[in-house]
Amino acid sequence: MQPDSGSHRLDTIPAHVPPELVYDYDNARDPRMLEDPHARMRSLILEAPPLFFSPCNGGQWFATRKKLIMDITMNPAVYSNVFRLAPEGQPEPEQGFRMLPIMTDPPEHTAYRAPLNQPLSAKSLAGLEAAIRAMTNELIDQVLDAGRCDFFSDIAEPLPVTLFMKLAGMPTDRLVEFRHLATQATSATVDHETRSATFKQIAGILAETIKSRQEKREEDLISRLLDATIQGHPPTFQEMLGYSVTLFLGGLETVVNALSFGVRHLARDQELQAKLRADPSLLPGAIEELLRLYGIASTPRRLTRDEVCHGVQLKQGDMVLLLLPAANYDDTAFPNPEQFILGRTEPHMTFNTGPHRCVGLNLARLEMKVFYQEWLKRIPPFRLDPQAPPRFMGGFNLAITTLPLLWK
Amino acid sequence: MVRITFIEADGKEHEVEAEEGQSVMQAAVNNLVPGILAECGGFASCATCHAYIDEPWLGKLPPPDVAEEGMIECAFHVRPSSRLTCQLQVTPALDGLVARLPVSQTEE
Ligand code: HEM
Ligand code: FES
Repeated sequence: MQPDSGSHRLDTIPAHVPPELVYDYDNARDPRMLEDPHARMRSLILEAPPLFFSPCNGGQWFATRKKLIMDITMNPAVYSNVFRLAPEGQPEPEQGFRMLPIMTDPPEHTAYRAPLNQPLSAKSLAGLEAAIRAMTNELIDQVLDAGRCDFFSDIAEPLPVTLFMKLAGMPTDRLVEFRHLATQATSATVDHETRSATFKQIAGILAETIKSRQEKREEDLISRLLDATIQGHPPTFQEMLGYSVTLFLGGLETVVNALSFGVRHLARDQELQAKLRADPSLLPGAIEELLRLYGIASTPRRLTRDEVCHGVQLKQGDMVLLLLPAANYDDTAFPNPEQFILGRTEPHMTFNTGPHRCVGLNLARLEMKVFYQEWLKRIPPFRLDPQAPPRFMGGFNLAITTLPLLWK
Repeated sequence: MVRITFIEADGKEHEVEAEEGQSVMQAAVNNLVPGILAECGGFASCATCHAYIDEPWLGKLPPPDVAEEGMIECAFHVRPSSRLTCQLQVTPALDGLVARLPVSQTEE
């Protein structure tokens, strides 16, 4: 389904890869990345070629610069989101479940993407703002008096899951159960088998919701999708499941980590905290700059044919991982990339560019804006717990696993 | 070459030469016209290449397809003459086209 992010290491470098483009980087285990993920992204800009080949993770290319990544994403005919299960040259097994719209290419992608655009547009989401505010305040109520919390598990994790359930139309009386499953699905500490069992359970719950909306529509995203027309037909049950699973996975771990890295930055910069408390109108700009500094997701593309890319010969079937969080530290786009600078005009790459550019970005921005407004209003100046520094994790998402904060 | 004029909301004009076959959005981006963001790169998925097309050119364009129509509804400051410029192909018939840009592509 996706390129290998596991431990498999190539013994021999493929013949078409010139030695000067080989750079050892393990997307899941690199020790410098695990120490400080974003500092490692910056070092990749300084130390590695813009498009390098690493023998780790099964052997693949990594793209780190903004212009390079944009050129790749804008050319989906060559750089595809459709990943083969069978080896190159052999026929694919029967197509079953597909994550939608992410695992399709234009023009098919355009048809699959269209039904999501409107329900997730900034205009349609404005109505959710009050609910997000209420949820945020409920979570703050639970930690305020203690003067401390693990921001990751107490706030960052519950907020997006609760919101997703509301948006999608999941029964909120099963909130606790679902939250637990969501945590398990994205947690680094559960083993492979538990995780795939968790996915099955999540798909099961999503399937129940889809079935009940098939019988009776409500005011939610699943109902809207059921009424959509895709290439002239209503979505099948498989397609509905494909959408739901993507929305669930796409909208949870990403937001959880974007919130956590952002709050960690503020915890280490009292001056910025004070500035934003004094003038919340600076928040939208500050959130964009935090999103730039702390990109989360990287995303793979597969070569549909041999192609020379920015002077590098790539072969059909090669995988390229677009390191979006590294592109945000590309000096040619972002001078002094390590500095937090309000008012940069160059758009960051955290949501990617091209046809797959995050469809949930309006929701993510809204969640973050409301969260920071309430958090800064109610929580006194907060800092990291010096006894328990945050810990990090790699993979397709750069992630935090714990973030203890103090404010007393 | 086909001439296209983009007019920003504050009245600032940008006249550019477009090539036949490219999109009106591409002509703007290639000439660094501010106000056409084109975040999705021309796949009718972001509505940040939104512009108002003046007559007589509006009437000369093929009508929007479903994807464009749905996406226009997500755009801000929509008017009857709203189009997504990435979906408009440059043809000789469009010579002189005037595209006016909304106050913002991303906010009310
Ligand atoms: C800060 C939070 C988020 C980040 C950093 C993020 C990042 C991304 C990125 C980089 C992509 C492009 C993947 C590619 O090019 O292959 C993407 C796509 C996507 N995201 Fe997000 N995302 C976030 C929040 C959300 C939310 C809240 C939702 C749910 C509503 C969501 C749903 C999706 C979906 C469905 C896609 C696939 C779009 C397509 O294939 O056309 N994301 N996201
Ligand atoms: S460029 Fe995204 S809709 Fe036109």
